[in-house]
Amino acid sequence: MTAPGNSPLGPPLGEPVEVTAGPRDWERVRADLVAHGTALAYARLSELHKELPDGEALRTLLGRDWSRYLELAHAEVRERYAASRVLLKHAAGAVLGGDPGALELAYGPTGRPYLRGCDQIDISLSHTQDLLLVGLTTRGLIGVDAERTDRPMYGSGLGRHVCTPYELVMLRNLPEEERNTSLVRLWTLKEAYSKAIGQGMHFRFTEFGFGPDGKPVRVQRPDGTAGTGREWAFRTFVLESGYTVSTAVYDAGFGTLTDTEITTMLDQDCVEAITEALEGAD
Amino acid sequence: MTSTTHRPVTPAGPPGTAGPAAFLDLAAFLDLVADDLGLDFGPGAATAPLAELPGWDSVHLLRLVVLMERESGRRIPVRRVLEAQSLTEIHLLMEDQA
Repeated sequence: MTAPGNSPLGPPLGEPVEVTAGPRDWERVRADLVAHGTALAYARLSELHKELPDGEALRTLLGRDWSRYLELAHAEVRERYAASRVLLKHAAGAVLGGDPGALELAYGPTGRPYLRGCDQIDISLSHTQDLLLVGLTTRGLIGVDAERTDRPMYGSGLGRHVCTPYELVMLRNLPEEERNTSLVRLWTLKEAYSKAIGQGMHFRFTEFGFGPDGKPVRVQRPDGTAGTGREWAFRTFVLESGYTVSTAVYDAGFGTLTDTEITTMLDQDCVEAITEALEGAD
Repeated sequence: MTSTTHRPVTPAGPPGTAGPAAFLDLAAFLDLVADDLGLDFGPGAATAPLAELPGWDSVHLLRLVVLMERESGRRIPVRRVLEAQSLTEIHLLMEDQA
């Protein structure tokens, strides 16, 4: 899979950073965001669980998600829900320089999370088994997805529901031992892309695809021809803990922001419009 | 995860009768799904939102489509499965298809 750092096979992007919910570990995430406009952070659910607040502190941290948390009947699901929201808020708080408890998560019509009032930063969340993954970008839109690298997918009949005809041929042409990991890679790329565009699985995975590993990754039409341009960038990492992590980033042309502090991160066009209006009022 | 041999979803009717028998009842359907996907469904799983089932994810949803297609021998409308909110709704969909 593509190498971390400034790989010629993808956009400049730091390797996913392992973090906890506390204030430690976030320096590299902040540095990645400033350097590349995008940062990936992950935590182990089993570790994060030990650091989660409870009672009123958790209620404060979850904010509007508290009622949803209470509605979840199954303890495992409830714990994962709380941990993922806490991680997301800590990540956002770290890069925005704000109090995680003061940040408000909101959800679009398809369930896509965003930070209310902080649209200069886009966020995405994924969880599978013991892994929670957060993606942050100042470039435009981001989607992330993670899956166990050894999750059995190839040969189970899933391919017909996941792959384009081009991808099915591509997989069949690979050595047998590479087919499953390659399908897991394709799956995470598709999940990441569909999360970034806010569609989830409602955009059928057989209607768009990706090329083989080892080349710059672009969205492809079912026949393998190019489907999007350079405004979309994709990367896949394999973590030592056995997870495949993919990210899709849409570059809206904002460039990277050197200042992401919530108190000073103002849109320049907005500042100029307000300044003009105030000057006109004098 | 292990896959076991199950009763067909639409088993053949008794000798001398035409067409398949009724679709599996809800309890048998839940057993089939839990067995095949390797998930442990607790009480209330039938009507719980899919996203709230422990261990559930989107791979499971597509594996469920594959399972239903394999067991019924016919194509399942994936879009309708994606729209389903619970296992009960998927079961109803399968009853409609039987």
